[in-house]
Amino acid sequence: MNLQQLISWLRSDESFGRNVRLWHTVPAAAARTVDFPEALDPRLRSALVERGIPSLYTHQARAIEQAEAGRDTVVVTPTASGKTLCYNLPVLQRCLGDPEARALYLFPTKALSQDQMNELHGLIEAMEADIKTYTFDGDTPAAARRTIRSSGHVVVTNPDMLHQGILPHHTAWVKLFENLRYVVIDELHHYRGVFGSHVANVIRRLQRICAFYGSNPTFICCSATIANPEEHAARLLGRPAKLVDDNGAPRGTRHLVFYNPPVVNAELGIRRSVIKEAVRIARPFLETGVQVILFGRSRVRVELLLTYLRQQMVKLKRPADRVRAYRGGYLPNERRAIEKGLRDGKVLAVASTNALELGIDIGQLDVCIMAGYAGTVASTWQQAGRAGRRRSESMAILVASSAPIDQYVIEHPEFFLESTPEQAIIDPDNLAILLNHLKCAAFEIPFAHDERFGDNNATGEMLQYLADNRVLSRSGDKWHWMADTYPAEDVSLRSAVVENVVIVDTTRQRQVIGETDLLSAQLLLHDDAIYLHQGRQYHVDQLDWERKEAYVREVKVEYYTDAQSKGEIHALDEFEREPERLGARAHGEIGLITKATMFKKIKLGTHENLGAGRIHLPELEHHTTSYWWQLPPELEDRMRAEDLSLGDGLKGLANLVAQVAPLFLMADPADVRSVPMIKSPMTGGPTLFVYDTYPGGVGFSRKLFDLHPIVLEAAHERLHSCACEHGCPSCVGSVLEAGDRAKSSTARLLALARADEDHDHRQLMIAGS
Amino acid sequence: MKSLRERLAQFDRPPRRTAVAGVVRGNEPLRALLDRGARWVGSAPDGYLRMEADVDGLAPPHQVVGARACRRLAAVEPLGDHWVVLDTETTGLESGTGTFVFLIGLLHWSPEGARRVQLFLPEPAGEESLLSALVEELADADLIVTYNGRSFDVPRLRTRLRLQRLDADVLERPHLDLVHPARRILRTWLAGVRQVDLEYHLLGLDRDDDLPGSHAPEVYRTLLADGLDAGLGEVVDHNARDVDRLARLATWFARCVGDDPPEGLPGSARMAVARLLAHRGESDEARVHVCRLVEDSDRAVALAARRMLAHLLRRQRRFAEAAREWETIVAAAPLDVDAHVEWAKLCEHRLGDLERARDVVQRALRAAIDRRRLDPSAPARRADLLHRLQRIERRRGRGGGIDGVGAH
Repeated sequence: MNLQQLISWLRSDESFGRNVRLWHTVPAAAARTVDFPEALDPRLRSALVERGIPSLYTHQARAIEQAEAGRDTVVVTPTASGKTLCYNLPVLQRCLGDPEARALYLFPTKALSQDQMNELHGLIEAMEADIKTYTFDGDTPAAARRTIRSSGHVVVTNPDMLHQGILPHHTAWVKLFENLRYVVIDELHHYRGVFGSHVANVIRRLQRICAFYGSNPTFICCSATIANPEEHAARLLGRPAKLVDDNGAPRGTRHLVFYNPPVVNAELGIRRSVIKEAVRIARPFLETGVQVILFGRSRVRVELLLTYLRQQMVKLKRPADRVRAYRGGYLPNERRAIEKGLRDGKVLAVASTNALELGIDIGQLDVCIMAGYAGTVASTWQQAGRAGRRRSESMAILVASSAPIDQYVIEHPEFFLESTPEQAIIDPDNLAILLNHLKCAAFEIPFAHDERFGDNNATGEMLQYLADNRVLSRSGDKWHWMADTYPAEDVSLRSAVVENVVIVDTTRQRQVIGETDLLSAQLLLHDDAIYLHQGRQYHVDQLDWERKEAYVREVKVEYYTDAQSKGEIHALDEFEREPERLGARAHGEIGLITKATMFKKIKLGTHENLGAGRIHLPELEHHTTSYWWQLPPELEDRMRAEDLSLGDGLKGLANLVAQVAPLFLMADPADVRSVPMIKSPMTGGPTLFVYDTYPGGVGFSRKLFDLHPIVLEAAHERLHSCACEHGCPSCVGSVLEAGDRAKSSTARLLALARADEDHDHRQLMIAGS
Repeated sequence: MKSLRERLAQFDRPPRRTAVAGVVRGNEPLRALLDRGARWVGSAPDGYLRMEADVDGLAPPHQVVGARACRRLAAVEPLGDHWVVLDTETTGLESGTGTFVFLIGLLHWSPEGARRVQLFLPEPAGEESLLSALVEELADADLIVTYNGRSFDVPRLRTRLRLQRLDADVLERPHLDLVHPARRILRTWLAGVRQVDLEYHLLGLDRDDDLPGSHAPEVYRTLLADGLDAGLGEVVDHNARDVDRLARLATWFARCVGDDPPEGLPGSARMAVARLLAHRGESDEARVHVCRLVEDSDRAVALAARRMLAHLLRRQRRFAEAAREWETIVAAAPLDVDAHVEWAKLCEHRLGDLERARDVVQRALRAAIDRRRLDPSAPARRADLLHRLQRIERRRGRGGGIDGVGAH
């Protein structure tokens, strides 16, 4: 059976169909093309024709037109739409016409850069042109570096290398900066949150250095679909960009299916496990031999997917190693091998975290199965976009987990189809981030006394602060770097924390098999954890926290472990305050302490609880921004008088807010947390805190503070559209979690906040059903 | 509501201050330099200070060092007789645009004598005039002499010139960096090859009361941040000694590769000199050095010298002499399989003495076996020795049956 037949069969199969909540077919689309521009260099024209590109898609033509007119551009089209030509063409055209011209390409990771360069290399070879492209990153050998600096026409790098290896040494790159005509930034949507805030500052420094050398390059950016591409690009670049999004590329018929695993325990409302269900669904596709990608929401889930998939392969009598897992934490050459295997068909199925969401070139696959909602509309479309070739049919299946947001989305598919993708949020003026990059910028070029760095008026004061700390020295009318340190070394673009825990396999010889950040390490690599890596189980013998090393040993056991942590909040500062109908809301800075507490042992297959253990690791502390809603203390008595509980109401509200926040922000559920306090030491009364999990905050809580009334509205909508009686995981939380008066108490809270006259009427309706 | 400053302080870690040696003097921070004869060129903030002095006791470089030594030490060819010794003090060791040069020491060394010029930057605003002055000072330089200047001083200066948009071509002169020959020659003898170590061990000169170079950045920072003198005079003195003594070290190294080598050099260092000369293609010169070592009291050195001599002779096509050297070596070191092989190769390919070649290879086989008995980790060498033997036999016209070697 081929894929098309299989899809038709599934459509009519009752046992599959009864769990399907949505079958959305996007019809095939023909290409919309435009002739090459008149002025296109004939060598480039014939090279393109030779490679099977006789004309341009509409969006490519538009993007190229903008770029050549010197306007910063952001292109928003899906994968497999030929977006790389949108930047390769203007760059090549310019280099052909001017041998001194230079371009800089930025990719988020090294892996991406290697793959995206294929098209560029192919064209250059076809033209036999003397245009040299070089990758400049941490692995570039010293001998090659000098050649790249002086004679590379196109320099390909990543933001980390630009930040540490190029900008602070710009005098060695004079030829590049003096002649820089284009800066290409791919995967723009990836630069959000903390990372994006850092990268925006790296770009500020880049622009500053270009100005020093007298060049003013045009930026060409490519982004996946987000709600605010223009705004996002403008914030990253520090100046407006023109949007190009009319996708003219052809595509085959695409099927998007929403699937809710059947209930197996009606009383408790438990459904079949999303992981196992996803694997069951994958099986007929595996049998057919089409390439399948499965997405899991966490590293642990991905390893479980792999374990179960391999079991399936064994049953199908196929080699188990044709199924691979892919995630961060694997060493680079492992990841390269998997990418290649996908491209050349040796790898039949891959289980991945969102690490593969990026434009890494694995070709297009046939089927995508998402084990659990990716958390945002944008990510879901990106993941689904992995399936779908230009002219053949493809399928993407979202399998819901029992998580409340999954259940909501799966049962309300219209919400998904109708909603706009989320916004990408960054805050380039986050003080901690800004200060670090100000130091780097001062190291690079002395600051003039009236120069501004960033979109704020604080530059002068910050420079003075640094001078007082003997980091800078004022001389004449400039601020010069004075310290003997190298600021870029101390700044990691991905977090405020520089350290990682290294994972050492001691089974045979000591060997480093990966690394992970501190918070993940506490949850995945605590003593006695079972750590999963490429489908293999490892027992963590010891996590040496002092030395940041975890010693693991390969084992074969029948269970896996799942850890939990708790957090504490203390307030530091308040920036803004707004009175509300009920209480007041505010936004400011808090101190956060997280502690990994305990872990459970869970049996593979049946997922029963085999036992638990405690985790003995130190607290992690950091500061971040938060918004909070402070309620009047007399509310507690008032609600008790109505036979309701403020405590339960707050808990329910916290759960609701956590669920609806991702509707507005392009945040992973882990980026924002909401915590209720019946009596906060800071405010002295009942308070709900909603904070950025990233140190220093990158704008999420700030945005939610601004959107407060809308957030409450969405919470209200969620609560009242839920059919449960007293509370369930899809709205306020289960009765065990939030209390048995959670639903009614939360409803009352929201009603008071919204001055809702209809509330009492609805209360009666609920009571009666 | 916290002030901006308070908020910054919450998450920022100010840099650690390194301790400063020396007394912190008050009011007129540049007094120590003015007392040493410094005078302003231009004025604060964008001027700089200049100190000049004649240096006695240094003969002209073409006499005591010379172009030949430059070639031998570093494969460098001076353009003429006006050499400039260069040493800088910077605000840190990092490369990159944030480190800058606040003191440049130059020694103009020519037939007219030796004259030291030091350029000091009282504050960063004066950098452009300081660097312009540097460009002038180097304008007529036929050779730049430094210690680790290729990796450190020159790249830093190049960066500073570019940042000030000045032409850095003046740095592209022939450059004798003594750190490389120092490492080659002295590596097996001295534990450290910092310039002060060389001054002590080679010239017998100490640096009493000298401020360690690592303190200089903090002294300078104290001047800029606090307006105080925490040892500026000492920094300038240290820099002056650096350039003066580097000239003397250049003289010493030139003697090493010349006709009158300094005394007291151990055999390993002298061997290193010979190797350096051979590396530079100066086989005759190398041979002279090596011949002096073949009778050295240290047996290891003597043998190493003799091996090198044999190689040199062969390179000079004096095959019979080379073969005799190998013979001597083999007599002194019967387990040296390589020596046997070298000897056999000469006999076979150059001297046409197949009988001798065969004998030597057979001895080599026995040597290899004996060697392994003493040291089981030594390579077996059987295969390639047998191969050699077979080829010799073939050439001697006998096929099959290898004579004299049973199964071992």
